[in-house]
This record gives sequence, C-alpha cells and structure tokens, in this order.
Amino acid sequence: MKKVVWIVVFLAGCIEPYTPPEIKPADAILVVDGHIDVNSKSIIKLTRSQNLLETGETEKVEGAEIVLENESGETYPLTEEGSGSYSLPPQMIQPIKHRLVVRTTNKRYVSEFVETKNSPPIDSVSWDITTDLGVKISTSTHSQESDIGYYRWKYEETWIYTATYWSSFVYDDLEKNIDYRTDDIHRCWQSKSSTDIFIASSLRLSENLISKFPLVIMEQRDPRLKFGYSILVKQYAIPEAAYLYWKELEKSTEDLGTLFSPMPSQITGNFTCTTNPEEKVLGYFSIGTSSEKRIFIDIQQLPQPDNYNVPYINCKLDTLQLTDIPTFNSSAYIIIIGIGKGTAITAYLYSTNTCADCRIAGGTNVKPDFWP
Amino acid sequence: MKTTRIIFLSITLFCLPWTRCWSQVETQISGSFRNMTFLQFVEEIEQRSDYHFFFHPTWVDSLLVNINVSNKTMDETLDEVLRETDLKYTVTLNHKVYLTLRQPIVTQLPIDFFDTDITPDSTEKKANYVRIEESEKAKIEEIIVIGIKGANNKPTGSIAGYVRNIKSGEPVIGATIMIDEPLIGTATDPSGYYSILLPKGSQNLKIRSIGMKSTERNIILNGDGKLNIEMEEDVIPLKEIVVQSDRDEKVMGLKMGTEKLDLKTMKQMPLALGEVDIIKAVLTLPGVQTVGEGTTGFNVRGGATDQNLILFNEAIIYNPSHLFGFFSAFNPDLLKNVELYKSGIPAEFGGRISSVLDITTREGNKKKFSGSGGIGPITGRVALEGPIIKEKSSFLIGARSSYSDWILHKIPSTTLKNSEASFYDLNANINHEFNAKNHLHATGYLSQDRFKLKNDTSYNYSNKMAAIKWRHIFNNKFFSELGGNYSGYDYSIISDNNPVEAFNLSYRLQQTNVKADFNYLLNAKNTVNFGVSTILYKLSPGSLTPSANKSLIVSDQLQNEQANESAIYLGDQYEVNSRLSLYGGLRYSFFKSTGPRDVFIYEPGVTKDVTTIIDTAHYTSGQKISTTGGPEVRLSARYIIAENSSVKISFNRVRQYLQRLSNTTAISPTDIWKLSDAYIKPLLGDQFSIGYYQNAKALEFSAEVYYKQMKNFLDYKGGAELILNHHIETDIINASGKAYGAEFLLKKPSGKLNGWLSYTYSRSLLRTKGLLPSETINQGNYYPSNYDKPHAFNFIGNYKFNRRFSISANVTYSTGRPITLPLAKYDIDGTSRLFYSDRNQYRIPDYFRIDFGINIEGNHKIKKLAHGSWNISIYNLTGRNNAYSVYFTSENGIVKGYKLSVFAYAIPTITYNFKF
Repeated sequence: MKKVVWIVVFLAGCIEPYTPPEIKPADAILVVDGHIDVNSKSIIKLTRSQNLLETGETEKVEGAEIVLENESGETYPLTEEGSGSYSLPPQMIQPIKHRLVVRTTNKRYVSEFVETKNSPPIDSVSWDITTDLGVKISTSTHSQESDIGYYRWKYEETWIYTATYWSSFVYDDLEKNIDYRTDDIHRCWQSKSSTDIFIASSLRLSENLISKFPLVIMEQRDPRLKFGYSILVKQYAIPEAAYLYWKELEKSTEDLGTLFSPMPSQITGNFTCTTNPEEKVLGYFSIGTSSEKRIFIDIQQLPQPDNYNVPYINCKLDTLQLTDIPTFNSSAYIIIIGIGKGTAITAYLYSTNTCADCRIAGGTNVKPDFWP
Repeated sequence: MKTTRIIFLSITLFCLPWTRCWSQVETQISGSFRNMTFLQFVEEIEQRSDYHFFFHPTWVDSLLVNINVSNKTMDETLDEVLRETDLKYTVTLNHKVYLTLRQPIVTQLPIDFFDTDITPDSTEKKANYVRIEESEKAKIEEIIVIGIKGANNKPTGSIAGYVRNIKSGEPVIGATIMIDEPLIGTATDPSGYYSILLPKGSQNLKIRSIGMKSTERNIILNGDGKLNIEMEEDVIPLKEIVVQSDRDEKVMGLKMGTEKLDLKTMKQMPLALGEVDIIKAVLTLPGVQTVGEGTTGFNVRGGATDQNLILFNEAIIYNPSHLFGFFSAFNPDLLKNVELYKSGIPAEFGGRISSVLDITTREGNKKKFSGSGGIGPITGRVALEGPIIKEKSSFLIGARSSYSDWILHKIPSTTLKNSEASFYDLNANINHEFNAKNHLHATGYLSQDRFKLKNDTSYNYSNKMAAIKWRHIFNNKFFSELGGNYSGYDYSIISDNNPVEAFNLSYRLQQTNVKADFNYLLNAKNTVNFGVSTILYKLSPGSLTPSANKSLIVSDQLQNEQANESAIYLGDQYEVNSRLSLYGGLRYSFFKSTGPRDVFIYEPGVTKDVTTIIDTAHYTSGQKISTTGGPEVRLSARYIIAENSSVKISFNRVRQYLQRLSNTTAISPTDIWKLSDAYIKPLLGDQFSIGYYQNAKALEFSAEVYYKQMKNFLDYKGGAELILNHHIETDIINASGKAYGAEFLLKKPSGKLNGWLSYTYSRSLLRTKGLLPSETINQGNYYPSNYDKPHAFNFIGNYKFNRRFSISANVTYSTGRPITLPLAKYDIDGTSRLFYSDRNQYRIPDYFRIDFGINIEGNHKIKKLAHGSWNISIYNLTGRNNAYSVYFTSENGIVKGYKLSVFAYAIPTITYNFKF
C-alpha cells in the first residue's frame, strides 16, 4: 500500500520534515544486536538506546559477559573486542536450540532458545534493465529442506568512482618540494552495506522458492553505474518468529507515511531481563549458517546516459608560483599538474583535496581483493 | 359589494357521483355586457337568473367584462369572460357558480375513492374529498371540512394523507404537521405519509419541512378523513441555506441527537473536489469526527468507523467511498436528504452501535420528464427522471463517473503516468402507486472502483445493492411496509508483475434482508410501531488464487461464513400530556452462525494460539455453530419547559454482529468484515444522553451531553495478520471503550445570513487487557482511541446577496488526533530503529481549515433550455498544511521525522451543474 501515497501527492498533498514536540526521554535501553553465523566469525554488539533528538555515537556497553548456550547447557563464551563488540570464532555446534546470555555489571539478560537455521545456496543474483532504463538487482533461492522458507538478506555494494582531477604530483611535507606522484588517488572503491530490512517468505507458494526478490533499484544516471559495480549478497534462513519480528520492525520504521499505513507499535524482540522482568531489552537473537554470492555489473552492457547524477563539487584550479612552494598548505590542497615551457616547469596548478583525492569521499584507492 | 359572497371553497358536495347533469336544465344567457366590472356583471346575471356566484372579491377587482352573447350557456359565457384570467369555474346542479384560482373544484371523486377510504370505525356513509391545488394563499385561506358532522360522537377524528411536492409529486419526508392548541404533532414517514388524531372542531394545521415553503391548512374536523397536502418548493434555491432542520421538531419532537441535511444545504457548502459529498457534509455536524482528510470513514460520538449503519434507501452500503475515500459513493443528483441518528436510536434500527446514517433518494418526478447533472474537475454525473404512468409511477436513474485517469496521466511523473484510477456508480429507482393504499418502490445501486499504479498491483472494489418495498395502508391509523433488500461488497487485488508470484486475492460479502414494519395509531396519545427483520449473511472472507500459468502461488481459501441475524421490535410513543412525551422501544435481536464450517477447538482457560488447538469441530450445512443475542432497550422522553424550549433524555442499547477488521487508522479498501462467531463476541453499545433545546427568534440552540460504553471492541495482537488468516481468533483481543462529551449547536436557519456554529467537547477511550502481556496495551489502562479529538469547532455560513448570487464559508478546527511517537532510537544491524511510546500518547498538530464557496445561479427565465448554475469553491483557503499523520522512518540508517498532509494547498474547483 506504500504507493497509495502517490495519489495523495497527486491531490496536492505534501510531505514535510517534522520535529516532534518535547518527548519525555526514555531510560536508555540495552540493545543486543547480532546474529551468530556458525561458519564465520560473528560479532555481537551491545549498545544502549538514545533519545530521539540526541546526536552523536550511541553508548557502547563494555565489560559485559556474553555466552552462547545450548539447550543441554553447553556454553561458548564470546570474547570482548572493545567498543561494545563481542566476537565468537566459527563453531561446530549441535543441531539443537541455542540462546544468548548477557551479563552486565548487575543485570542478566537472556534470549529465547532459537533453532539453528542453515541457509540454502543463493541460486542467482541477477540484474535487469528496468522500463525507465535503470537497473534492478534481485536474488533468487530455493530449498528442499523445509516446506516454507523464511529468508533475510543483507548485501554490500562496491563501486568505482573518481575525483574531479587527476593529480600527477605530490607535495613532500618534509622537503617542502614537489615530486611525481606514484600512487593513484583519482580512482577509488566505495563500499556500503545495506541498511533496510530485506525479508521474504515462500508461505503462499507451492515450493520453498524465492524468485527475483528485489534488493537494489538504481536509476540510469546513478553514479554507482558509471565505472564499475559489484554486489555481495548474503542470505540467512530464519525461523518464522524472526521473520515476524523483522516484518514488524520494518512496518514500524520503514513502511510508514501512507494513508493506509499500519499503526506503529512497540517492538522489543526475543530478549528478557531476568533480574528485572519489567525492564525492556531490544534486539533479536538468531543463529545459523549463511550463504553468499557476488556479481559484477558490466557497465558496457548498460544504456549510457548523457550524464550521471554525481554530487556537485565546486572545483577550480589555482596557480602555485615556484616561490610559494615552501609555504604550500598540503593538508587542504593537492598539486594537480605543472605548467611551463618545454621541460621547465614554471608554475603548478593545484586544487582542493576534495577535488583531487577520491579518498576524501570515503572510499579506498586500494583495489579490493575480489575486484578482478 | 352587496352581491359579493366570500365563498368557502370546501363546500361539501353531497350529490355524488357528479355528472354534467346540470346541462339538461340549462339557462341561456343573452345580452351585451360592456365595460362592466365583474361584480356588476355578476349582479346582472344573478338578477336575471337563479344562478348564484361564489368567489373572492380580490380575485376579480381588476377584471372588466366586455362581451356580447346571445343564447349562450353559462359555461360558454364564463369561458369568454374568464378567458384571460387564472380563474376557473364550476357550475353545480343547483345553479351555483364557484370561482377558484387556477384549479377547478373537482366535482367527481377518483374511481377508487370508495375502495380506499374505509376506516374500521367508520360509521359515516361517505367521507369527504377535497382536492386542494390552488395557490398557496388560497389554500391557506380556505377552510376544509373533513368528515361528516355528527357521524359519531367520539371527541377526536383522524386525518391521514400524503404530503407531496406540488411540482414533482414526490413525497416530502419528515414534514411536520402540527396544531398549537393543544400541542399535537406528527411527521411524515419516508413515503410522505402521515396520520394524526386531533380533537374535533376547527383546527389550524401547520405544515413545515426542510426546503419547502411552510404552509397551513384550516380544517373543520367532524370525523375521520383524508387530507393530502401539496407543498411548494422553496423556489429560489439560493434563498437560504436550509438548515431549518424542522425547527419545531427540534424542540417539540421526541427525537434527539439527530441531524438532518438536505441536498440544498449540502450544495451550498464549499466543495472539496467539485462535488457535493454527503460524508463531508455530515462531518460538519457536532459529534462527528474523522481521522483525516481523504478518508470516508467517520466516527460518531467516539465510535469506530464500522459502527455506523449507512443505509441507502434502507439497504446497507458497506464501503461508502470512492477513490480511497476522496469521494463519497452517492451521486448527489439523486439525493433527497440525509438523517444522522447519534443517540436515541429508535427500535426499528439495529445492527450498528454508534449511529444510523439514513440516506434517501428522491422518487422521481411523477409529472414531467426532467434531468440534472454536473461537470466537475474529476467527475461528471447525470440524472434523469420522469413519469412512467403520469401521476402514478416514476423513474429516477443516475450515473456518475470519474475521468481522473486523464488527470493522473497529465502529471509529469513516471510513477503516475502508468497509473490508473477510476470509478463509477449507477442508480435506478422506480416508484409505482397502484392506488392510494398501495405503493411499490424499487432501488438498484452499483458502484465500482479500480486503482492501479505503475503497471503493478491493481485494486478493485464494488458495492451492489437492490431493494424493493411495498407500502400498504390498511386505514388511516394502520399501515405497513414490507421490504426485501440485498447488499453486496467485494474486492479483489490482482498482481501480475512477477509471473512466479502473480495472484488474485478476493473477498466477498453478501447480505439478504427481509423485513416488515407496521405503524399503528392506537389513540390520540399512543402511536405504536412494530416489526420483524431477518438478515442472511454469506461471506467469502478471502481467497487467493494464482493469476498466471507460471505462478507458484498456492490457492488458499478461507472457509465461508454464514449467519442469520433476526430482530423483532415494538415501540410506543406516548403523549402523556401537552408537555411530556415518552418513547419506549424494545428490540430483541438474535444471531446464529451456521455451518458448513470447521471450527478449531482451543484448550480452555489459556490464550488461544495455534499451539493450543486441541480439536476441530465439523459443522454441516445449516447446522448451528453458535448463537447470541439479547434485548436492546430504547427509551426517550421530552418535556416542554416553555413555548420554545424543551429538555430530552434518552437511553439506547444496540448489538452489533459484524465488525470490520482493520489495523490501519483509516478505512482501507482491503479491510474485511467479520461476523461474530463462537469466538468473536458481538459488540455491545450503551448510550445515555440528555439535551436542552431552545428556539429564540431567528435562532435555534441545542446542547446535548452523552455517555457511552462499548464492550467487545476488536483489537489485535502485535503482528497480527488479518488477511487470509485461518484462525483470526488467535490474533484478536477484546477491548472495551467509553466515550463522553458535550455538543453545542447554534443555528440561524434563515435570512440573508444563515448557517450554524457548533462546539463539541468529547473523549473516546479504549482499554485492552488480555491474559498475556502481549495482549495488553498500555498496561491495561484506558488510552485515547485513534479518533479522540477533544475539542472541535465548526462554522458554516452562507450569505445571499441576491437570488442568483451567494457566498458560503466553512471553518473547522479540531484537536489533532492521537498518535504513537518514538521515544528512543537504537542501532540494529547498522541501522537506526525506533522504540515507540505507549499507544496514542501524543497528538499530531491541531487541525484548522477554511473553505470558501461562491454559488451563481443562472437566470430565472421560465422558458429556457436548461437551468445552469456554477459553483466555485476554494478548499483549504489558507493553504494550511494540516497533518494527516506524523511518522518517523529510517532512511539510509538515519531516523527522520515527517508530516504528511493530504490537501496541503488551497484547492480551487469549479463545477457546472444543470437542470432541465
């Protein structure tokens, strides 16, 4: 029903940013965030909730003890890695139910016992050109293990982007002179993990099968499609209860703002505080194996747009006289090119580092291992 | 003027049946009458012959006679004399000449007259028949003799008849007929019929109705008889905004908590999307709320949107909206009036606990063919009506359709370019009057909506209705109505975007109703009505089927539901004395759900859950699954304090066996109706209210206070799936509710400036307390319902500059509706998520809107092709961004708050309406 909002827009409706009135701050609530991935290293994060208008980092809970426990009482302790992260290396576990036990300085929190779910392999991650010449990436899977499959996906996208200028020179801060550049700071790889909830079930289908579940939709001018794009899709099989939890969470935080939106409600998860049953705990514990698949999109196969929707940066070149070289501010500017007659350079052109160093925008200029 | 005799037009005519026998003893007239006044002419004739003239002198004071006749009959002479005038004449056997304005006296009775006028206690040999169709003034001045003097020695006589529109012959519904001394009154029923018992003697009857000119009749009541009254329409439509909601009825009548609107009133309100909308008009009344704009569901006195009995010509309409609620489902050209009962619901109504919205269409013009229609920015509509057999039967048909697809496609957005949205509705009414005692009325209605976005999922929904009613009058004091109707609602959702998951989800509800209502005027003090009704429900609550060959969707179908709801009622209105009047009604309703059906049996004493199912009971076709029911008491009283003021008090209990399952704030087209069954208890509502009413000069004032309790309200567990749920009882929690409030209304029904002003204070609270924490909301405390808006203010004003030009304005203010806001945010999986407060602890910003409208009538020439009028409206004049909802959403991992407004700008519309 999300699309119904369009008709509202058509009737001159409007959506505006809104800041709520003073809301009575709630007590910070413990958040247990994580999934135990049996065949790789798993991270469980402990944080606390923040007031709605609070900015800055969330509070990390350190010094807690976390153990994975199965129904027969065997335990696997997690190792604290600092800043609220606790890790567990890959484990051989018994095919029975497990739970997570968290002990802070004075309280104990436990999850429900949940069954281990093993994800079937991803059949395919495919991409199609949409009617408006954009790209839609979707995933498919199937399984014979159970009648109904509940799945959750996460993904990590990686794409190439460039800085406006190509810098040939580098300023040596110690020698206060200029050398030829040996590294490439023009081209970078940016990676980003999914933030939305992607879940699906085969509940209404005759087979445990998911066909072309859409994950990413990009318009034709999307800058991610300019030089090179890859996506790694990670798939989890989840129990029905976990599916319902994610679905509720999705409804309460993503699927809102239409005329027929469901009313949001308080969602907590499968943890309880055994020390104080009144206290709320947030988070959902699940355990199982995952499967993954990476694809690359061959940019050559895409219809080429006239231009890409690249964020605009005001880039211009300034001249650096040779006499000014010792006082050059290399923390803010980068030398682009030399100018002169014949082989003699008489001056340099420089620009801001946002225009010349692609790393400023957050990516890395080190080619990832998986990139061909 | 010695020869002038002021006549009584209502001379009793004893020589019956009347023929033109007088011609055999004809006197011939010869002579020259030059430049004489009519009076002189009459004197002349009277001297020369044994003719006697009876007329009103003012009718003839300017009439000059200038004729030359030889051996002419009286007829021929009068034809010539009166040729250029409105005057008609009747010459009787005994040579009396009666002059009347426009209509001759009918000297013959209708053929069926004697068949139809037998009253059980009638001792008179003949009754008297007087036909009144003269000008208004004449009708008021004349004295009508009803019954034969001395025929019986009872102190009272009954009068009954129809009140009709003089122009179209259609019944006037809800017209009040009353006398002042002693104060006795009645109102016409939906077919315009009334009957009243009055003391014998000379009486002045006052007849009033919305949209009609008030009139009077002077009668001398000698015994039982008939009196049909024709009322003139308020000819200039813009004369006033007709909120004259039965001025006297409001104070003197027994009804309370009722509001009546007629089409004329609604037409003069500023329009939202170029069309008169019943529901939007009803929303301007005190005690009626909505969760937001663009939703057709409305909340009456703290009740939910599914608790309103929406009757369209007495049959239920399940989805009263088009285009997701932006239009109401009723073609305004066919409407007559709308009556909303908020409290004091009489015993003949049942099945919904909060209100009754009784929508009546016109009957169709019985005298001539005519049509009307309109063209607005989104819709076009037309209605045609006319006689089938003149004066006996008529038809009225209407059609309306959107052309909004075109508008969607004009918008430069790819999403909308590929979208389609359309609706239409059709109506047909037929009326037939077999004779004065038997009427037949049939109605059919069909509406269809379609909505499809971006070549994706399409939504279709449809209302169907057919009703037939036979009205039979046994005698002046006793009449009946037998009726049958069918209502259906269905929807389907079709998605074929992904061939593997292509599906068709459909839902269907059908109900068939048979009923009989009787009304008996027991004596001057008691009017009794009673009746029976039975409804057969058949629901197909959901079926999912694959809609493409490749589709892997597994067909799934919920079991059909069948049930029977029956009721029997008896009500008595008792006039204790001229001040105190009482109404007592008892309705006994009975509900039975029947097989074929398999019902899960749950472990007793624990929460119902899939894991607590212990058995499945199988019921065969027609086998009883569960029964419920009980008495519903309806009481009200009126006490007249002074001439123009009264107090009223009422109590009513209603049971509701059908509820809508919905966990969205507004009515959504995919909401499903669910019957009560072994696990879902019927909704029970009790309301107690007190009101004070006063008329002072041009103003009417009323104040009402109410308290309401609701039991077995449906609420849902978190994450409940309402569609295709085979065990919905495991996801339902019973809630209870209470509502209370005070409503104040000040009306100025007539004058150049007219309109109303209302203020309402109301609260609507719910409580959900289950066995488990997951079944308890807000720790089991009362919390505000979604439509709890404590303060509401409404102003509707109309100012008439002249007969063709008027302006109107509407001002609405209400407290923002309650919402659940996030209290905190937290990170899960790298994304910010929200932790919400207890339910409905905060409110969206207050609502405020001004609308403005201009009505321009076409010229008032009598002869022209069509009468056109223009309506120019600006909805939300100030362009205020009233919040429909406030929501928070996680975008790229960051929580952002938004406010959604539906009509965020001033919306101008222009509509052309025509009539021919």
